Amino acid sequence: MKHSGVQYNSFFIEIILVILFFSVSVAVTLQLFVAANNRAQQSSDLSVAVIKAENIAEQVKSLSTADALPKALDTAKPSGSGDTPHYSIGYDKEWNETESDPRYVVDVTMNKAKSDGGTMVIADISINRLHNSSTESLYRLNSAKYLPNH
Amino acid sequence: MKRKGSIHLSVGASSILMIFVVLCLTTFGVLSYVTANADAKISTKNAEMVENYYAGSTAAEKQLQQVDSTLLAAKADAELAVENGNVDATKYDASYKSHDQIHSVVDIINGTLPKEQKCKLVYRSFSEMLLTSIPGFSIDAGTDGEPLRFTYVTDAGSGHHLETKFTVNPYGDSNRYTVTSKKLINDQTVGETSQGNLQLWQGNSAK
Repeated sequence: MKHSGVQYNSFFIEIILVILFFSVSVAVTLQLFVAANNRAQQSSDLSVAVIKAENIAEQVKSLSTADALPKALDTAKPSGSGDTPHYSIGYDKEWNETESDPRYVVDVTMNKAKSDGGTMVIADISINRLHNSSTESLYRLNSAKYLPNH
Repeated sequence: MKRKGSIHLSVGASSILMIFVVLCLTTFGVLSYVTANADAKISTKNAEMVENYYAGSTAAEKQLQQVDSTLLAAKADAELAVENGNVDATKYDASYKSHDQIHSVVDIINGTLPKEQKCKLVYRSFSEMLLTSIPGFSIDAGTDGEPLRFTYVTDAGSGHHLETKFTVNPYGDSNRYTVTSKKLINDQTVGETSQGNLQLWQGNSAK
């Protein structure tokens, strides 16, 4: 009886130690999984940001007149005036356009510099992530189109 | 004493199970982090390449603006030179006089051709003189009757450059130039490196 009592005691002690070491190792490996998930989320955000920026940049390169606007900015919220109008588009966490509580914001500033021969249109495209009232820059791109006068 | 039909776990079995589970968790955790990290690196490289390409494209458009202002100046100078009968009062007379072509231009100005024809020929010569003096611009060989063809390159980073070709349209045309091609060219060709290997990524960005 004493022998089986000692055996049960050692079993419980072992189980307690196993659970202790297991919880410590799970705490460490969980951090690894969380870091991997964060990295994957960053990579996904960057990839989509590049696609959105490239879409607008290509449309700027295909402008035919200085007053024309890239098609992607048709639904954008305009601000600013004169030769540097500013446009903003908000996206939710699934990258769907939204006007309320956006997670991501695409800001486009269209600079138009006139010269003797024509107009140089330069679009400054920046994509930011809004997080807890702070703004983190995801990606930035410049695209230009020279439109000569005829 | 051992009871009949009872399952008895020996000491150490739970430890072995725990070691196995922890090993699996650690392996999968490391694997997922390494995979996510590799994906993030590829995304970053792609983003950098796109950024460099559009920087090169923007520089190419600024060069086009310079081309257009140069052609406008050449047109104004051609009209002034034909009007005055000499190149002295033109904006870039010092640049024209430094070229050997100036003698043929003077001959045209002093010749008996109609004014429109003189402007056309002088404009062509002035365009060629001014554009070839811009650093980075090269003229493609062609016959006298063909439009002038030029090529310039801009750095697109990541071991690439953007080559733009354009033609200068004749005097009086509403479009002063026509872009005929834009190509993204890899600076490195196969065979330049040892063992015929092509280095895919140098890790450099456009300044």
